[in-house]
Amino acid sequence: MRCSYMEKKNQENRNVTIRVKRFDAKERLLKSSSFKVSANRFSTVLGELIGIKEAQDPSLSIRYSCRMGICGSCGMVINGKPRLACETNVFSLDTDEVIVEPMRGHPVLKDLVCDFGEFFDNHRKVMPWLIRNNMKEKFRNDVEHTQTRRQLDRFLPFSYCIKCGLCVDACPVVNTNSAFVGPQALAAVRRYNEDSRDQGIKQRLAAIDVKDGVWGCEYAGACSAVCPKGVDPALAIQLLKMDIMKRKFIGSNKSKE
Amino acid sequence: MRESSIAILTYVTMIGVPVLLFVLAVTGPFMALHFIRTALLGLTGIGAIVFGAVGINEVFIHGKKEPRK
Repeated sequence: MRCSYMEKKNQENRNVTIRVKRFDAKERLLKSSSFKVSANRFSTVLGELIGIKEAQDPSLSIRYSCRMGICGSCGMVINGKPRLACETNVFSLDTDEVIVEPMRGHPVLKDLVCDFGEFFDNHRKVMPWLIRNNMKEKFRNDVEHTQTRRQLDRFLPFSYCIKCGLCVDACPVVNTNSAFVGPQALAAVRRYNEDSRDQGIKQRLAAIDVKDGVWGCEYAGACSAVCPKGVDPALAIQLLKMDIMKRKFIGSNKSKE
Repeated sequence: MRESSIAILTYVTMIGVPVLLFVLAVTGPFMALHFIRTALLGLTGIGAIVFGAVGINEVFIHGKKEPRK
């Protein structure tokens, strides 16, 4: 007997329970809700959550946008690990029960939605933009700052950050000391300090040379382990510590200031 | 004082104290080095006190900050 494409596809479906630990803002507690879904090999956790919201429980709050790992909106803890829901394939979790929780490294607003206000405040604190001594130069179209491949390679690995906040959620220091600036902001410092067009290294290093800045990092490395874009914030932080020490003992490269 | 100055103190004492203790142990049989060994012993003591003070500051003063609720 011939098997149609749809029949074959349905055979590949698997029943999965999605257990959502929803944050109740009134009682400030996490409450579990279980939903049964039929997942296929292309199903992502975000896809299933959207399906639940559309068909089973419209009150479920989730944040998402691009559904393809670019916007960094759908960060959540899936089966105990901070991940992007849109990039997490249900079958790849290899379990019949998927447990979804909100990120705890950020204040939780409702269900799976976190408040990123503090996160972006910390990001802004470290001046994540190109600083020039002559700022007017930035707006002149006749001035060109060319870069060699080598110069580009110095900051490119740190520029892939999509600000999803997973590194901050995974960081044990942020979770015990909310004043710590966090791995995302520190990786951003490295990204701009290494840019050959930038002249703000002195200001940025001064901003992070504090207890809750670069020295707050205990080098657990969890930030790098969970980054969905392969940015290595833990490495960036150790390199920043070295930069600060080098400037203290050897002095600075004046062309970058 | 910038935090990097305290970090330098931490690193110097963290590495320096064990190195000095090793030197003291190795030079133990040489009685002629008594004066130098006493000076090194003094340095080791200062290093240990500084490392302890930095640790106390780290744990009991900075560590008092409350985690996010």
